[in-house]
Amino acid sequence: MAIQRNVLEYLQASAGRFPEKVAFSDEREALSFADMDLKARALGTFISRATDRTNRPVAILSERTAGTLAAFMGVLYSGNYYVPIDSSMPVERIRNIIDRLDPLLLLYCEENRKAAEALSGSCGISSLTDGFECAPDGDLLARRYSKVLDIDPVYVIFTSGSTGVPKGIVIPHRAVIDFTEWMADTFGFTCDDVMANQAPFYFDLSVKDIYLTLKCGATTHIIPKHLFMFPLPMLEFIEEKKATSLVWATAAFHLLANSGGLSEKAPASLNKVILGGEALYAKQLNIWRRALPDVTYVNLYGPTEVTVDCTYYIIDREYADSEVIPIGRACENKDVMLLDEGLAPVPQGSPGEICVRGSGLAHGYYGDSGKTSAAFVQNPGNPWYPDTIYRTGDIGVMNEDGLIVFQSRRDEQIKHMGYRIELGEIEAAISAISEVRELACFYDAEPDKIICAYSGGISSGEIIKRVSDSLPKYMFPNIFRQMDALPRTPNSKIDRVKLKKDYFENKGN
Amino acid sequence: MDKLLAILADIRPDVDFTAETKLVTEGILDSFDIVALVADLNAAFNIAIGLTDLVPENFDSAEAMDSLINRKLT
Repeated sequence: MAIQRNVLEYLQASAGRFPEKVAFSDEREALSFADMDLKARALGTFISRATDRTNRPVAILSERTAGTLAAFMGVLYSGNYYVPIDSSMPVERIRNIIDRLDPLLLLYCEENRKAAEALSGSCGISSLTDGFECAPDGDLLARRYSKVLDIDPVYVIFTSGSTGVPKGIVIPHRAVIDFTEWMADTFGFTCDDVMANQAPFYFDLSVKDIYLTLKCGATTHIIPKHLFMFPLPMLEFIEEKKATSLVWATAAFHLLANSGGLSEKAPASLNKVILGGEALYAKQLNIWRRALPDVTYVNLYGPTEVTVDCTYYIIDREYADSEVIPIGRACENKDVMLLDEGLAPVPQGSPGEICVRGSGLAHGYYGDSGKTSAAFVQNPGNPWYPDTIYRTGDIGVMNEDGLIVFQSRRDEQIKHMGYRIELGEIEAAISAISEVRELACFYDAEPDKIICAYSGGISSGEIIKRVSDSLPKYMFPNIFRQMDALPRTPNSKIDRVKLKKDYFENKGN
Repeated sequence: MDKLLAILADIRPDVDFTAETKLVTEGILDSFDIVALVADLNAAFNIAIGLTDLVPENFDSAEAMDSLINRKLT
């Protein structure tokens, strides 16, 4: 058999093996693998009749629905690639993305008709309802998608850039296949697995739920949005669906631990909990482990540019609440290096920028060769032929066990009162205090202050008292801001940009 | 009830809380609204909304929230 070159082959194989089995369900409908394939072929035919072009972007206003995923596959059947867009973003931000993307079409479901019509001046728009009703033309589709190579894009995902202009990260089929094969093998995913999906589909964390389901013939139940505010009903949902695996953002994992719900209702069907997206804290992990001791917990790390993740650590020992959990070692077929500012390898035990090589690398940033060439650079150890590494901008250090430990962003290392300090270390120490629910530390160079924003029922004086045995005095935050809750980004990470902005705007008052 | 409506109007001035009956299940209130609301209600009425109170039915309408507050007060 020829090697796989298109992710659609996962859907086609599972539709053959398990046609009647539920692939994805949401609040309103459950789509079997055969339903998914049929809807995707219908939409693929619809797009192929609307445009002759292939290997171009098609934007989709993404919702937490099975239909959104059928739409992704439909775009691939037409020989093009999909670009999921968060429909709850302000229209102006969407227009900014659409104008730079110049997609063949923007696809929308009925609830987003208004938002789509507001964008119709920028590109052609089509309703998914119409697209899914088209009669599939198998010959037409085969002519379209068989032209697609494994190096061609499968999706483009936009993330916020540090300068405020979103960056479109271009990911090829080969990268998703490479990652999915590794993940299914390493964690033993099979057709018996049932996922409860947390990650929105415009966030690349969801690539794991989507492609593990399609490859293995597993089932993913999309958790209704409103349940995220209600811990016990959410745990009931996981239990009722008999979910075996949670492949979640770490932030959502922490929130559920903090809610206290796990001691009331711990879903016994779970056997794997796989996390990624931000630093995993031992305190919250331990709450989960006390409630569900037999589950395998995994910490993954990686920016969208390396296709979801590039390192993993299967938690294999006890961790004290104040210990830092490693991000582990490289995923298969990825090379992860720690390099200094001149891109030379750092000595064992010294911090270095995490740089990655492999088939999983993105092609770069859509329509932005400047940003691409700044982050995707020639492997400094290879002067002989093109060999790209991606510079993550994250700083890691290798511990004595040969596991990488995340330290901070390259730009979050600070010099405070003459000392070199990693804010991540302060955060890890404060996060170990049981009353602290969430926190973020940042730095104000003028006049040289560390600020700690946090939520939880504890005074700043008490926090200082409790960290005084794990942190040197010069690492104590100078200013505390107690909040009801820290602001979150659409991907439910702590919104550090907004926190800092609010602080600096109100500083004089 | 008036005190509750004033708090709600503060959090989401764009919503007609006397008319809506599916605030949560139809996604009119998002998770940030609920987090802020629970903190405000606890402070304003000196109550403690706990884990078992955090269910959609208690927040789907102003009436449901009002009866939750009354249950917590007694």
